[in-house]
Amino acid sequence: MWLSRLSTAALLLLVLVLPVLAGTMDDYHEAIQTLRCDCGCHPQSIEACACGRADQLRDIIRGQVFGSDGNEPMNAQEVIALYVAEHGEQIRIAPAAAGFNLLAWLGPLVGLVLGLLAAVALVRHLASSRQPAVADGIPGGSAPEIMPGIPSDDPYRQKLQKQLEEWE
Amino acid sequence: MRDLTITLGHYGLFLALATAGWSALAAILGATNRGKGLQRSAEHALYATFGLTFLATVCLVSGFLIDDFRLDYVYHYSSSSQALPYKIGALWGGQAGSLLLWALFLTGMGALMVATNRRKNRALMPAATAVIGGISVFFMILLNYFEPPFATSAARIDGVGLNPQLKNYWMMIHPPTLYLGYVGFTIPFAFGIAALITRRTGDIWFRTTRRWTIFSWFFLGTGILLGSYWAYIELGWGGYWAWDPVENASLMPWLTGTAFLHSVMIQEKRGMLKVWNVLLIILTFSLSIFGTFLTRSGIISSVHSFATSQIGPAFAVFLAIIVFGSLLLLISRLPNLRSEAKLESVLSRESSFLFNNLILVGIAATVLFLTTFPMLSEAVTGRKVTMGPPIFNLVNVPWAIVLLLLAGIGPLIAWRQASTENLKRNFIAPALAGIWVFLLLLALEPRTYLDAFTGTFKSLFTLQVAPMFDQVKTFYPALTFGAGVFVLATVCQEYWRGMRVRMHRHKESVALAFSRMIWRNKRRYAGYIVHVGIVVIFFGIAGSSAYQTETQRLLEPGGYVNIEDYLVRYDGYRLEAVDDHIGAVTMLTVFDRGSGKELGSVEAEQRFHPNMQVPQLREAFHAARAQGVVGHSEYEESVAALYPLIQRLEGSYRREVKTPSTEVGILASISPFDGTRFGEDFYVIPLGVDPATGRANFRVFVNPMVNFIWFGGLVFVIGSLISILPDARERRRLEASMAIEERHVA
Repeated sequence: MWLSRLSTAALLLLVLVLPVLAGTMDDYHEAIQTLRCDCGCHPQSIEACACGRADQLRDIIRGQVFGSDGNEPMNAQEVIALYVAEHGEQIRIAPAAAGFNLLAWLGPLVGLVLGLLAAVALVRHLASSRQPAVADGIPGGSAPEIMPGIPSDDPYRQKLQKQLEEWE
Repeated sequence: MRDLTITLGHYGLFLALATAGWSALAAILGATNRGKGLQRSAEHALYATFGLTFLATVCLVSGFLIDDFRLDYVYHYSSSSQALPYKIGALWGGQAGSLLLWALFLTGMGALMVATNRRKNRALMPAATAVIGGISVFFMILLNYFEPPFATSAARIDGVGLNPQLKNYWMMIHPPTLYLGYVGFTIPFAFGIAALITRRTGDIWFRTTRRWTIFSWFFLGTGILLGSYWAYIELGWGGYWAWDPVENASLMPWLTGTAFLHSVMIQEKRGMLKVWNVLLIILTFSLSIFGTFLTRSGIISSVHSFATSQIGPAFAVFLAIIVFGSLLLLISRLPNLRSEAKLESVLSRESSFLFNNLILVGIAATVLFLTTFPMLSEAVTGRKVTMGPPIFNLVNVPWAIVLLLLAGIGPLIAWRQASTENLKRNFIAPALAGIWVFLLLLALEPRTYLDAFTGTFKSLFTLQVAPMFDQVKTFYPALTFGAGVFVLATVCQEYWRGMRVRMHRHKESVALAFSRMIWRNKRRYAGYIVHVGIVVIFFGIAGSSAYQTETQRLLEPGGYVNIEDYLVRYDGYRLEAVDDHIGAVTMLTVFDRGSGKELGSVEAEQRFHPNMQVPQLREAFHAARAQGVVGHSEYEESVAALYPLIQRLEGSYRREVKTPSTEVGILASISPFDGTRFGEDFYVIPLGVDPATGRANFRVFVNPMVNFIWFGGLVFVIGSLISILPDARERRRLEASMAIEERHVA
C-alpha cells in the first residue's frame, strides 16, 4: 500500500517538476522561429523553411527541447546558445538586440524619428517659403490660383473647386 | 563559323566601347561653341553602340545554340541536354551575360531616346546623350576588361548546365523584365541631370520622360511580381517574399520610383518640390545601380568576397561617381530649384503626397539599411549576421498600412487646402465602409482581438517592446482590409461621379461612359486602376500571411489524409528521366472534406539533376532517358536504378553528384464559384519520395487568398499599360511647357 502511495507521489512530483525542467512546446517554437535553416536557400527560419534540411533540424531541436535525444532537456535559450556557439551569430534569423547589432533594431526607429523631424521641417519650410521670381527657372506650376484672396470656405469658391475637380 | 561568332562578338564589344566613348565626348563638345554640329555625331554613335551590342548578344546566344563549350560562359551555364528555351535564357544566367543584357537594354533605350527626340528637346539632348554615353562606357569597360563574355578555353565535351532552380519558364521572363525596369530609369535620370546642367529646371524634363518613368516603374513592378510568383512555385517554401537581398535590390528603386511618380504631380500643379523630384530620380537610378552592385559584386555573401571580386570595386567607384557627382550638381543648382508656391495647409493634396513620399522613401531607406547591415556588422565586429524576414516585417508592415490609407486620401483631397465640405463629400462614405469592415473582422474573432488588445497595453505598461509588437501584429490583417476597403470605396466613388457626369451630359451608356472616361483622362483613371491593383495585392498578402496553415504527412500510395477543409488521396507515383533530371512525380486527388466532391488533382515532383561531369552517371542517365516511355517497365526500372547509383557514387566521391529541386503541386481555387475558398491555394511539396515504394513525405500549405496577389498584379499591369499609352492631353501640356520655355529663353 505504502509502495503504491509512494509511486503515486513520485509520479505526481514528476508531473509537476518535469515542465519546469524540460522544454515546452513554446521553447520548441521559439527555437525554430529564432534559428535559421542552414540549407543555403532563402534566409528562412527553421520553422518556415520547406527544405528537407529544415525537416531534419526540426526533429533534432524537438529532441533537444524535450530530451528525447537522450540528453538533458533544454529550454529555447539554451538551444539557441548551443547553435550560436557552433555556427556563429549568423545562425539567428535576425541578430540579437545586443551590442553593435542593437543598431539593426534601433536604426529604423531612429530613422523614423529623424524622418518625422525632417517632415515637420520640410512642411514648415514649404509653408513659409516666399513666392519666387519667375526668373528662377522655367515655371513649373500649372494649377491656377482660384480666386486669390477669397477664403477657401467661401461657398462660391467651393462650388467652382468641385466642378473643376469633376472635370479635371 | 564558330570562330567567326566569337571574333565578331569580342570585337563588337570593343568597338561598342569606342562608340559609347565618342557619344559621350561628342555630346559634351557639341554643347560648347567649339564642337557645334557634333551632337548629331554623338547621337549616331549611340545608334552604333546599340547595333554593336546587339551583334555581340546575337553572337553569344548563337554560342549557346550551337553548344560551343569553348566559351567559358556557355560551358558554365549550359549543357548539351539543356532544353532550347533554357539555352537562350542562360544568356542572363550568369554575370557576364547579365551585364551584356543590361548593356543591350541601355544602348537600345539610348537609341530610342535619340530617335524620339530628333526634333525636340535640343537644349536638353546634349547633356542627356552624354549621360547615357558615359553610363554605356562603364558597362562596356566591364564587358571588355572585367567580365568578358567571349573568354574561351580548350574545348570541352559538355557544359555544367544552368542551376536547376533557374529552369523555370518564369526565369525566361523575370530577369529581363526586371532589367528593363532598372535600365529604364536611366532615361529620366539622364534628363534630370541634363535639366540641372542646363539650368532648365521647369517641368519639361519630367514631362518628356513621364512615359519612360512609368515604363520603367511598370517593368520593375512586374518583374518583382514575377519574381515572387517564381519563388512561390519554384522554391517550395509556401511563401513568395523572403526579404532576400536580391528581392530587396529590386524593391528599393521601385519604392523611390513610386515616390517620384507621385511627387512630380506637385511640381506640375504647384511648382513645388523641385529639389525633391531631382533628388528622387537620382536616388532611384542610384538604387538601380546599387541593386546590380549588390547582387553582382559578391558583397552579400561576404565583404571579403567583395574585395576579391573583379567587378565589385569597379561598381563601387561608378556608384560613388553617380551619387556624389549628381548631388554636387544638385547642390550647385539649388538657386534654380526654388519653389514657386508655398504649402497652404497640412490638409491638402500636397501634404498627403508629401507624406506618401516620406513613407515610401522611409521604407526604401529601412530596407537599404537592413539589407546592408550584415556587411556593416561584419566590417565592424568581424562576425556575420543574418537579416531574415521578421526584422523587415516588424518595421515595414505598419508603414505599408499607413501608405495604403494614403492611397485613398491622396487622389481625393483638394489641392492647396481641403475645406470641411471637400472632406465630408469625399471621405465620409469610404471611411464608414473601411471602419465597418475593420469592426466586422474584429467581431468575427472577438476573443483573439480582445486578448491582443489587452496584451498590447500590458506589454506597453511593462515596457516590453517585442511582445507589444507581437500583440499589435494581430490587428494587421483587419487594419489592412479596413484600409483597403476605404481605398476601393474612394476609387468606386470617383469612377461613379465621373461616369455620372458623362452619362448626364453626353447621354452615354454606363459602359461607354466608363471606357471614354478612362480614355480621355488615362493618367488619372489608370492611376486609380493601379491603386485598385495594389489594394488587391495587399489583401492577398494579408490573407495569406495571417491565415496560412501548414501540415506535414508521411503517406503510402493509396493513403488518405484530412488537411483543413480538404480530403487528400495519394494516388501513386511515377519515375521519369527527362531533359536533364530524374524525377519522382507524385499524384494526388483533392476532395472537399465536407461533401466529398472531387476538387481536382495535383502533381508534385521531387527532382534530382545529375552532375553531368561524372561520366558513369552521365552515361547511365542518357541511357535511361533514351528509353523514354512513361509506364514502360524497363524504362522505369532503369530510372529507378539511377537512385542507388547516385548513392554509391556519392559514397565513393564523398560529395554530392546531384542537385535536388522540387516542382510544387498547386490546386488553385480561382473561380468565383469556389465560395469561401476563392483565391486559395492547396500547395504540396514532396520533401522526400522513396523510389522503390513510393512512400512520400508531403508538406502541405493551405494559402488562403494568395491568388489575390496575382489578381492584383494583373490589375496593376492593366492600369500601368493604360497609363503608358500616348495621351493627347499630356502631349498638349508638354507642348505648352515647351512654348513657355522658348518664350522665356528668348
